[in-house]
Amino acid sequence: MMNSINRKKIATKLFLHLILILVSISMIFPFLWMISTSLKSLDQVFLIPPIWIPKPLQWENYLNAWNALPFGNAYLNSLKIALICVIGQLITCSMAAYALAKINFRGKNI
Amino acid sequence: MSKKELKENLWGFGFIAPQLIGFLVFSLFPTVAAIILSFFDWDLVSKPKWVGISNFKYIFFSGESDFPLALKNTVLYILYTIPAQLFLALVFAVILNNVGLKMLYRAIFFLPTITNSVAISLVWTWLLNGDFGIINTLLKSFGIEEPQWLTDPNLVMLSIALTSIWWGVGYYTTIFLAGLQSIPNVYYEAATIDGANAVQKFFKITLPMVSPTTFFVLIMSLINGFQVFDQIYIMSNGGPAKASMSLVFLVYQYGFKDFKMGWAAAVSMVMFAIILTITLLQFKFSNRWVYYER
Repeated sequence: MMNSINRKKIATKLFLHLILILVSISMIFPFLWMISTSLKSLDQVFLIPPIWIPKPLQWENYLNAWNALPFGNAYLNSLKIALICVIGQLITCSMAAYALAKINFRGKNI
Repeated sequence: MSKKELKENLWGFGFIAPQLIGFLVFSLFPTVAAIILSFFDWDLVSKPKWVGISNFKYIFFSGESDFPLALKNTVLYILYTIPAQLFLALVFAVILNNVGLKMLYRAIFFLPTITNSVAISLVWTWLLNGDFGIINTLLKSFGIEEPQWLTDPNLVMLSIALTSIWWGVGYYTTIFLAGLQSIPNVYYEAATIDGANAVQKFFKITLPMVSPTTFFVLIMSLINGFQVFDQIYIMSNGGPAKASMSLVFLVYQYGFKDFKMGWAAAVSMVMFAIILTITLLQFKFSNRWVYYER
């Protein structure tokens, strides 16, 4: 029974997972902070030590943020830009690629 | 030319026309305009005035030009981010390649990258806040003195570099992971039969086989690193005392705050020359350390 080798393998795997978990936490941590802060009232934001789940969940923050700037408009604009860009790129690039690959025309290799 | 050939030519040009027109209007024309503009003095409202190379003389030699400072800051930023990003991304990719749950970890690592750089810069501005930021709170609870991340001129570029590393590591890890997974297993098996241990396998098999990926990552991160702007504009606005002013930030400042389009164009041209030179040098030296499979 290769008991000691198996245990060494498991220990290595656990150690590697530990590193990955630590790194994952540091990747997610700012997002968690963002969500937690978005639900706090203004005086709770800068408290030390920081509160992770604020007692009265301030959902009004989202409403206020949405109303402060024309978010609906901005979102629509971003959506339009993204869609038009992607569709435009698909059409023009596939056309150009087809031409360069299949059709023999003068100046093709430039 | 026969009628058939003529028709083929027309079809060909017709198909690439949209792409070509887009390239001409949105890429080629502005680039040429910028080259020409760097020899003029223009403030967006009056007529451009020809000044020859005095724009270039100004940004290099005049005592009050910020170009040397911006260049130094940008080089500092690159020295902070690129080795760290490369090293971390490669290490994480190697670890990920050898454990289970790859998909979950990869998704988590990639999460910062798919987030908008503006949003990330805002969040990190608050996290790194000298008095109230969480990072400093944590450090204080360990008894370490709290560094003023964004208001200390010596630290500000490091803080921005840290944000960028956090943001970009996931992307490069994914690229390295793809590169690692294309290494055929036979090499590792042969090495095991010959009695190699893990360290030897890493340095003799993994590193050389992944060098094309490393090359690509190095070029992309250099080109992007020279053009850093979002984080600087939001997190420190070039301050304190211009300690975090990068080259692109200088272009923005000259162009839209000081209204000296000529200077801005000149800085852009110099940047272009620098990045082009570095990329060409990298290509030239690549055959010394990049292994391609025969």
